[in-house]
Amino acid sequence: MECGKLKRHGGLLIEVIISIFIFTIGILALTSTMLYSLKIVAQSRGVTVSEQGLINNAEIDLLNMTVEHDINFSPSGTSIASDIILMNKNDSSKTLLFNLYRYKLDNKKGSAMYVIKRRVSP
Amino acid sequence: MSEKTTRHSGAALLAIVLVSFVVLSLVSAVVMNIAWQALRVEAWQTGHIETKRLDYIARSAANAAAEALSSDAACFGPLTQVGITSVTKEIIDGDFKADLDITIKGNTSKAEITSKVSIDSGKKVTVKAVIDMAVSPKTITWSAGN
Repeated sequence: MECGKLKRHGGLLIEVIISIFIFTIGILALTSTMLYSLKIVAQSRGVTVSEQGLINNAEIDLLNMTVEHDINFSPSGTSIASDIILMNKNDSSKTLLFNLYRYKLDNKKGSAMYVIKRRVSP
Repeated sequence: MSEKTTRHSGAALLAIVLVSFVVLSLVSAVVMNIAWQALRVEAWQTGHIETKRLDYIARSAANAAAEALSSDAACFGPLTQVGITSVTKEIIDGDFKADLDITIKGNTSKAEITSKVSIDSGKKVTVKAVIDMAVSPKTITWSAGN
């Protein structure tokens, strides 16, 4: 009888240890998920700040062009194309010459902004 | 004594399991909430940046046309209320593609430039610029059109 009681007590201890073990595994898995989430959020913050800086540059250039109307103004973006717009469907000689400028973060896809600037010479 | 010990053991095990379940549920809910909020912010940001991208193209195109008109009012042909319409210009860079249309209406004293930029997904941005040609220096009034 005494021997049987001892067996039952040992069984309870093993059950509790197994429960705690499973619980610990779950907590560790969730903790690693949370740490990974925090890392992603921190990285995202850095990219958002850089992206906002890029947008500010494009906005400042656009404001300069709008206010100054200086044909010699050089935007801070990268010139990626020189092109024309046929401005009058009825008269193909009426054109608007322009350069296309791009503002882009190298490490983020889809961050590009574009600004058109008029040019006078071909 | 033996029966009492058995009842007590069962209750302890049940309590451990229940408390563990509640704690795990709470932690899971917090993690899921953080992930959901992050996804929402990301989706909003993507949509917002796309609109801004189109807005910059539309504004700068209207500004380029306004500059040309300010220097020569008839540079794109005589200004009429019917309007001068451009041939649709495709702005292409890698995967990005947008269509730009410019319309100019008016007369020798006032010209209205409408610049519309659209992409394949259906999103579009329209910007209007009205140039008062009668005053010197010429003034431009900007507005977001539809």
